Amino acid sequence: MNIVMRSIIALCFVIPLTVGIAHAELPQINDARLVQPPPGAKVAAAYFTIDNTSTETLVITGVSSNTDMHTEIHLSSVVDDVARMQKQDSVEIPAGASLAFKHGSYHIMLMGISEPIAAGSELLLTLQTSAGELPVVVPVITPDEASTMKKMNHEQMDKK
Amino acid sequence: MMQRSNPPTHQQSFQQSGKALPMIILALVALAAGAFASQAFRNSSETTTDKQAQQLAAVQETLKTSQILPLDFKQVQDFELLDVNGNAIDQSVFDDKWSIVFFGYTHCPDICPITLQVMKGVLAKIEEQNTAAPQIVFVSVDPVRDTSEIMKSYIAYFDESFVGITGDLKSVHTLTASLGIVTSFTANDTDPNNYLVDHTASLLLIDPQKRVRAKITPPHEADIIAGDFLAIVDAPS
Repeated sequence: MNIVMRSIIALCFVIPLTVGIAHAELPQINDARLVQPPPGAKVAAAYFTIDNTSTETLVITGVSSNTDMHTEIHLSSVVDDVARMQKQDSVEIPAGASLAFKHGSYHIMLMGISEPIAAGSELLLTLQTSAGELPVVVPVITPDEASTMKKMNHEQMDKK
Repeated sequence: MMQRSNPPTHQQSFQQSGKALPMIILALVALAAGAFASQAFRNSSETTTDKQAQQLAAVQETLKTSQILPLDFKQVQDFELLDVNGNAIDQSVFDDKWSIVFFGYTHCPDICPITLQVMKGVLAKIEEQNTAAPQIVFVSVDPVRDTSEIMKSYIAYFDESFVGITGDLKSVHTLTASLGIVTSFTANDTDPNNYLVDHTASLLLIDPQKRVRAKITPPHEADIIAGDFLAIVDAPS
């Protein structure tokens, strides 16, 4: 048996194995979006949902982007009628749980916008996590698209 | 004696209440007279009367996220600030029209833009009901960073008809504090320019006499705010 054949046979075992591991352990990130900020705004918020499909707690410890904007993990809340944003050093997602970064809750805060962020474009975030670096492709959408998205989610919830 | 120690029968209780009836009527007449007198007195002093309070309480029952306030609760005080064109703006902006006032800042990416987007929806819902839409006023709680110029482009993105108010920090605080709005600043350790501002989340509904008529608490949804607005506008005042 020549080296090529041996390699192919070996790969037949290795590829399914690695794909299987990746599928079980890498968190799934869905519904990533950034609502286009109004002109003049120096900040924007990115949202997504993370499903921690692994058997271990996932800890997000930081975030960076492919832009020159400063990025931080923030949490919005309304407590006793006071709207508040607080920087988070880390966020934990228990094994098997999912966490939505969404309006009024966790979000990625992008600060120092120097050029307009156009709807239809994309930006790349990288989350530093206990499972390694996780890339997130974030499409930029208009506020109207965001409203429609929210409405559709509500309707889906109603059906359930 | 024997009768009293026996358990009361239906007939007995009827007879007893029959005897008590004149007393009850007397007491009711006295109460009504008292209430009438106090209402007449209050009418003369221009405060919320008992009847108005009852009517407002009835309206409150129909509201979803708004808290109706007594008519004499608060009025917009005189102020001198800046509009989005850098021109002077004062309390007269609230004259002769209903206004929904939102307190926020442009360095708030999560809640503030969505609230303004909701306000756009509120106007559309109210206009569908053939009712004059209120004026939407955005007061910056961060006037140092929110210059007139920034406010102008920010607001115009949602609706050019929205009124923006900014100005010097002290004067803005005088206005917000007089309306019971709280603001609190939190430094950002890594980036001093990106400090955070906590602020009252509720919107205020101001009537054409500049009285604060309701507090609209979050979560803010266009349908609900429009419904509450229509109910309050129709309420007695």
